[in-house]
Amino acid sequence: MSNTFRLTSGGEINRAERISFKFNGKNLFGYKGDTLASALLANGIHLVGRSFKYHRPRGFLGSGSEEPNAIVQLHKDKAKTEPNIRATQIEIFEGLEAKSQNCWPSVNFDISEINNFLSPILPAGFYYKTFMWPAKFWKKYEYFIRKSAGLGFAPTKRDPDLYEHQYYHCEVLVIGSGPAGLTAAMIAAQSGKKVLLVDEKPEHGGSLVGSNDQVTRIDNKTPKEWIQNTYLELLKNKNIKILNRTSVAAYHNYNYLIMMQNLTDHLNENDKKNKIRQRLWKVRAEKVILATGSIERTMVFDCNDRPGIMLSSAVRKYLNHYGVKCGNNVIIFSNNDDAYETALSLHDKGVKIKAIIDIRKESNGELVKNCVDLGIKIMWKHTIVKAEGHKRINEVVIMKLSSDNNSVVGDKIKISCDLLCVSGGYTPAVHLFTQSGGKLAFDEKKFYFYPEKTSLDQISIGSCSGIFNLKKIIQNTYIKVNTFLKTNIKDKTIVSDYKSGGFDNIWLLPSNKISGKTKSFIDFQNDSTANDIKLALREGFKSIEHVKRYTTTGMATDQGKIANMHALGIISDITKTKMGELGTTTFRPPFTPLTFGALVGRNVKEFFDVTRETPMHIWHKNNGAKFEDVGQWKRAWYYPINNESMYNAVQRESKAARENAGILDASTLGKIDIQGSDASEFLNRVYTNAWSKLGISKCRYGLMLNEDGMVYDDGVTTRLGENHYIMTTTTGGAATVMSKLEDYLQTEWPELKVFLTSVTDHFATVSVCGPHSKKILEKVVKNINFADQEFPHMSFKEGIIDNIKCRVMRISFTGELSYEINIQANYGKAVWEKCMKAGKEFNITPYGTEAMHLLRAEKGFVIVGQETDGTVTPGDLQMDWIINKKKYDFIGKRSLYRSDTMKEGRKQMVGLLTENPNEVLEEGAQIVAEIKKNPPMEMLGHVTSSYFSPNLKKSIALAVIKNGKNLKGKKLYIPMKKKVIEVIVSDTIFLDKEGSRLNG
Amino acid sequence: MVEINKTINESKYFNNLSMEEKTPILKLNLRGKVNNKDFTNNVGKILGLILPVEVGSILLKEYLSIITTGPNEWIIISNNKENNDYELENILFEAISKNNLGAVTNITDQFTIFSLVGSNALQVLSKSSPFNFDKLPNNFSAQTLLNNIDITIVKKDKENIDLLVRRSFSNHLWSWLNDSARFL
Repeated sequence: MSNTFRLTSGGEINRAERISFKFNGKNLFGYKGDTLASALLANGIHLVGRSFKYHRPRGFLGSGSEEPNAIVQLHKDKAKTEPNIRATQIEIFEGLEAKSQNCWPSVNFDISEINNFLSPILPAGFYYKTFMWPAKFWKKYEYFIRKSAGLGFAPTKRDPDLYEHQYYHCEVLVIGSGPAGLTAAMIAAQSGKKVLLVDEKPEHGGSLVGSNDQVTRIDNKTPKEWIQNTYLELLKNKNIKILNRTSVAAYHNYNYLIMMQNLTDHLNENDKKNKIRQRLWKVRAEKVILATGSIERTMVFDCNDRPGIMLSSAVRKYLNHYGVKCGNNVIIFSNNDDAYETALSLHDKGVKIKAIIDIRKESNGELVKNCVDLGIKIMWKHTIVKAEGHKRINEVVIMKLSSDNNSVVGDKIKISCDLLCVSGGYTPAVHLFTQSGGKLAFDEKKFYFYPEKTSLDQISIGSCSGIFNLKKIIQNTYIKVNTFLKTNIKDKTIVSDYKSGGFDNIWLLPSNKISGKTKSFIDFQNDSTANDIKLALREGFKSIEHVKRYTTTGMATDQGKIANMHALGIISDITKTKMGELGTTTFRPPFTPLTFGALVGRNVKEFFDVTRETPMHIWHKNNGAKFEDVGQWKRAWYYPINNESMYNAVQRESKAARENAGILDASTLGKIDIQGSDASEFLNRVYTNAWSKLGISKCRYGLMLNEDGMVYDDGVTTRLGENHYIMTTTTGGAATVMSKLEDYLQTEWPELKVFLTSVTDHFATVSVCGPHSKKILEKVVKNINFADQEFPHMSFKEGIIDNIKCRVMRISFTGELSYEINIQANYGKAVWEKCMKAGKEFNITPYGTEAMHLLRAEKGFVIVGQETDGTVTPGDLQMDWIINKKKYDFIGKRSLYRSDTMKEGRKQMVGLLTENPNEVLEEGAQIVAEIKKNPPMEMLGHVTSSYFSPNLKKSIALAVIKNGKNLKGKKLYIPMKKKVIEVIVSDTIFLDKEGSRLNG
Repeated sequence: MVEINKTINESKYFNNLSMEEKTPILKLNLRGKVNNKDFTNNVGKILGLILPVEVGSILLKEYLSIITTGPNEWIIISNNKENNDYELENILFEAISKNNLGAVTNITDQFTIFSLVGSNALQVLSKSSPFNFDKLPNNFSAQTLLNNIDITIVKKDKENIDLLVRRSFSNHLWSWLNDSARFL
């Protein structure tokens, strides 16, 4: 196909750059600057899609983001394919492939069009009523409903494109670069403020783009020249940033706005490579100027959805901006003077206008007079009662309106045509204003909602505020913006505009048929008709929000751009309620659809979540460690050798730690430096046990409770000096414990002289355990006497490793003789390597978190978060010994004396031994006292930790069980899917109960 | 000698932006009440200055910088790259911590400092930080989030920024900075 509908000259396309693309498999071409819509229209293609419900043929209605029909599937590639893209917004590029949606086998012949013939039995809400019976058939119905739901196809492969986010702060944000927006931006920029000007289109100028040069002049320039001049003037200001192809998706409170900028969608594939496709802007503006323009309304009559029925302003834009005539035999149908500008433009370009049908009685506007002078036929006080044609309009049926506009009279007049331009007036685009919480008012004379009240620092200017005359728009913009910005920029603009006639409005045009025999569409995207609205009202839906949901009017991506006003108008007419009293539905973000890619930005792959690494991370990586996520930390999990399985690696590591020496990276534990004269008292209040008498250089284990008496965190705290402690916390609890303690100091105990400083990242912690650990430490830290009497269990010494100070604690989480070296993080890796070197002769073995868990389970040490779940008290853990009842208070003390926390039979921690020593229980498995043939069985508790102990050569487990303290020796059962495992309740300590190993 | 191991061992150059990790130097966390004259006088005498009190403010001296990170908290950073001497820590610890006037804690390796230089220094940060850098004066600091990581931004001027980030996050943040900077 060639560009038979392309004018030989004119338009803003670059005719030197021809671009090939495919639509529904056909090779076509357009020019640089074309949208997919303009290029298709240039090729004479109007039929681009099928409607959602009835599969009716549909063509282009508009030329921008208001387009409800021409939504297509882009790209064939399974990763890049994208559904529901408005052809009116896609700029063509070499190799573009698009196809129609919601049709099979093709848009020309769509089998599902049978729905159109079945439409009498498919009214609004039919699915709410039809599929109620028989109930058992629901699964069948559901299959077909799901199959027919949705439009287009989602990509099935990972999105290869790049997206990013951008925060931006400005003093003035201007949304929309039409005549009002450009003027406002100029005033703001000249006042020296930091300005951001955005527009969703590739070009600036808004409603002036595509306007008739002969009709409008600004400062004695054509609209195009004025736009270009103003744009260049704006660029001279360094304080302004101008973004095009940027759509404001959402306007939140406090002038926080989300925008999406399209950066590469209009480029050829080669030019797109390694570039950001879309950027999501998160803008905070001190002041917002809304210049979002207005959207032309369609007219509601029988079969007003035929391909070839287009908004008058869109036809004008295609003609003047893209150099495309949308038809050869044109009829214009209007209720206002604006459509006459389109008529003049078409006439100028030699397109035949067969008639202008105007529902008004007359108009004294200048454009109307010009049309009359040119001999264009105008049919006053007439309406279209039906559009004929199937895949393209070919005729309209016209009748005269009665004097009260409620009916049609006289004979039918039929006029053939291939294009019908409709203009039902303009609706201010108040979507963003209402998103921001602004309240609308309704002008009962002009039939539109306009912005009335807002609590934000914002104004609406131009046609979105309800002013449609260009001269008035410019004048009003100067007045409003100067007041808003407290500036005094003089208005020197000279606008020569036309005098306009009146406006008459009929929401649902009368017909010669009964309404049940007509299909007058209100929402093209969702196939809602005027009859659907009437049905909803008959069925008792009065609120516009209910009618919207019942009929799906204004839903999905339309969000009230085209559909809502007519729906409201029809409700108003039928219920005899003023439209202002009906209100509008909620215009929800996004104003235009956002891609998931833009929402996610660069938070993908390695940037999906934040990761933390210890100073020894690179060593672990180089030595084949497998890592596990603990909070945000990457912790060495186990170190497989020669493709060893995790089980074998953990067994080997655990055995080595008991028999020779093991080394663990414990740097992730939280560390809090505590100083101040009340440090001991502070610890008394934070932990359940007593701290005042802890000797200097001694360590003590502490259990921290929440206010509800449940275990919150634990760790060893060391007294470094009279008033100086270092507390360790769990890895995952470090930040919350620090925050909680700081909160208590600032709000509950301001009288305490205590200062906290987080040093978690400052220290690397190397933990060496096992029978040979002492010998290894002696080789590494030479200034410390490691003799047991000098350096007993639970004590601390300062050491020096090659002139670098370190802290060595003799503490153990494995039950083995164990030391922890804390050294400045930047030396951590070197000290780790020193320990490895020193331990080589003792077969030192690095072990990961999994072996650590196994070793501590052998010893019966709890892990907060594994044995506890926020409902476990110290008593439940059989750790009553750690509660100092003599202390005046500590966090959670009061809760420990509640009847519930004191009652017998709570879930308590116990050990479990399997009857079969080789049977390893599943963590999380439920425990019962007796097995029944069928559930339910009373569940006593669950397994919290379970391992095969290589040191004890049997399976061991920890569990929490109701009344566990009193069940020692009792046989219980663990029902699994295919078997029942018998277990005996045991002590929680499986190894070295007397502590001889850790005491050396 | 124990080998020192920086987190980042490279300098990177992008469009109007160069980035590197600063040599690890002495950093002390100082805590104390500003209404305690014994505390402020002692600190003032030892450091030869008057402690700044406005949160975010920075005091730059030839030998050290002080960042006010909270109403009773400061970070003291040595400016002496060659002589990473911990004598100051001992003097302050004896005078402040030992006398229960406040707390002095060595946090040298708690933070990694990235230096960002160039006209795109703030631009790269605004790809993930909601902070309004227009409102941050020169020689001022701000604590905010960058790529969901807690950071302290020290703005010397709009083309010379230091980022303080906890050491464990530094590799991740460095990767993120490199990734974001390539699109500048």
